[in-house]
Amino acid sequence: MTLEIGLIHYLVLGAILFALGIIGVVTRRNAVGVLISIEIILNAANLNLIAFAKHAAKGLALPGLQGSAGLDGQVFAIFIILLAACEAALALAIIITIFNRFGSIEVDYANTMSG
Amino acid sequence: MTAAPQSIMPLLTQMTFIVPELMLAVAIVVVIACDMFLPREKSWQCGWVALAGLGIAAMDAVYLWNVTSGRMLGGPARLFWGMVSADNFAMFFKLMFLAGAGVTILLSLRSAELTRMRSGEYYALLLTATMASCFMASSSNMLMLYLALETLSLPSYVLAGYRKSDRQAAEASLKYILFGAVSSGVMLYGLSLLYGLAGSLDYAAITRIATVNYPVFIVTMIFLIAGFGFKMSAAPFHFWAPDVYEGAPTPITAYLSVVSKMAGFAAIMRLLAPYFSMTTIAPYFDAARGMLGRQFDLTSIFWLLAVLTMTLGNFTALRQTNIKRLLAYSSIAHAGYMLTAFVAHNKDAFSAVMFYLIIYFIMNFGMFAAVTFIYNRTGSFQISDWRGLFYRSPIVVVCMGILLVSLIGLPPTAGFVGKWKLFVAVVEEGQRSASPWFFYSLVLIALANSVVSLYYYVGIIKQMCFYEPGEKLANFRFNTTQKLAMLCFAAPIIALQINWQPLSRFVERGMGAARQAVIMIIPMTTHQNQTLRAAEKTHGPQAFDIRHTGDHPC
Repeated sequence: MTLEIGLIHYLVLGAILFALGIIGVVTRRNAVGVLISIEIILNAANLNLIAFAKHAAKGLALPGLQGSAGLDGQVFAIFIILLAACEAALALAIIITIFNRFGSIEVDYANTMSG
Repeated sequence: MTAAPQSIMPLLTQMTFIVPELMLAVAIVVVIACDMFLPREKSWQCGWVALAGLGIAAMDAVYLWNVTSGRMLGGPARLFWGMVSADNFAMFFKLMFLAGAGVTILLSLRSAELTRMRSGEYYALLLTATMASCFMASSSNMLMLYLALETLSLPSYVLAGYRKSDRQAAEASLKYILFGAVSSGVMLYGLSLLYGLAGSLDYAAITRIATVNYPVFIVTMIFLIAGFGFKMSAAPFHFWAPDVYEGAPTPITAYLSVVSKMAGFAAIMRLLAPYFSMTTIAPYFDAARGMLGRQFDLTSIFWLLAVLTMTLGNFTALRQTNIKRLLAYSSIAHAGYMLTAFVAHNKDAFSAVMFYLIIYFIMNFGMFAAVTFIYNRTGSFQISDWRGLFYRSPIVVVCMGILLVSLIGLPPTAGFVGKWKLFVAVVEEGQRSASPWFFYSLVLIALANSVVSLYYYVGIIKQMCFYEPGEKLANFRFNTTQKLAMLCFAAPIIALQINWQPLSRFVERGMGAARQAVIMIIPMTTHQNQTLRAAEKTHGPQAFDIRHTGDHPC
């Protein structure tokens, strides 16, 4: 029996990735680890967008909301990849500054302000 | 590409509506170029170049303000295939952002925190953030919204940590980028679901989901509110705010607390305008146990968000000793007050938010200007170091007193008018509603919160007036420019209490055009409703359920 891979599979995978990302953000103490988790969240959204662009957009598009709705999701995904790269570059630069000031990239060390 | 009414204007004509942003883009390049030719100790002069760019952009925004509120709107209000809106609502916020960036640059030029630093990039980044907030206020497509939000966030992260030799600044920057990236990621996940469910990235599309499957709509909106809540610093997405406000240079703190927050409010107001103008939403939980005799819906979420934000902000502010942290919590509390308007979600409430934002703009920039000036001479952000300031400079302390009373929201100031308008809008919605206590309780909580805030704001006044000047204020005095600046902030606060009609009319004009944009969406929405009804007749109520579309052959 062949298993047909439909939209729902992509969405479930996206949801799992999203949950893993959130768990990573909450539990990781290393700033780079948090950054990786954030990238996973972004990729969960990417996966959703692409899956929807392929499967759902055509099925859902109603008169008045038509057009090249299918392409929107893919375009969005490309923009996200771009912005994720920008964000990663920036975050790494900031992490280097943190290392210079605190001698560690554990987020717990860089926690002098509170209250 | 989208649901927007297709524009018949040629592209070049459409470009004229984003000239303020284009001007800022040019100014960014010019500032960077100037920075290359100026030696390090003179690079602060880039600030004046940036200011000139802002001035030109603002002049054009004023011109467009008149264009978009005139008959010109006979043409479609949305440009570039529905990506951005050109209406008075957008222009209103663009004017505020440009003014806010101008004040920030003037403060930066006067701030001792930024001297001896290479500052060309600083102003270029500030202009980039401003350009992005302008786009955020006018975006009417989720892709545009996300791009604008990120373009606003990325320079903000750098600016927060601009004093990079400082430990606190580095920490502020790290916290800001981690919180920001997570919340924008969560929002993005919500956007991706919204896109799939609606089949379009257009704002108008969200009403489709609300009419078909309300619970799913609520879930996606919760994801989205994470992103906006971060920008608005609404609890529980506010954790970054106090630390970033403390570590960032004071002018940037002011910028984040005013312009960045306003951008968040502008974007969410535009995003939700089509939803709030809907008359029907899908019947959802059959036995929904709501709050205070009301079904659980999006307004209930805003109720919780508003109450949590203002209570947390005010009560945590009580034990702050650092003025920047105190103002951070105060700005969180004010976000809470403004969120009450989303519970009322009528036209009056939205105009009240815009009205309040203008007053908030003056109050907060005024307070942060005072903080900058005092830091320049004392090198301290501790409120206890402000002791006896009154005996050094009565005029400035009176101005600060006016600003603080306005932040509390007491009568002889504009802060009272702003809060009055906000709460009246909520109460009036309650009178029309079947469950009035849902609205009344919110106003009561907000009033109780205002009383709490009295304590810490008056505490500052007490420190300034009822103690002998401390050693840090031994030779302290404000110069004439600083006194004039403080008077410029305090005078409108009193003047607007005496006569707020001009400002009200300004806000009404901004709101009026926004309503027109909403009206443009309504025919489409009713059309969608009809289509949906027809589809439901043939396919049954599950016609647009997500599982159904999953099986759709492709």
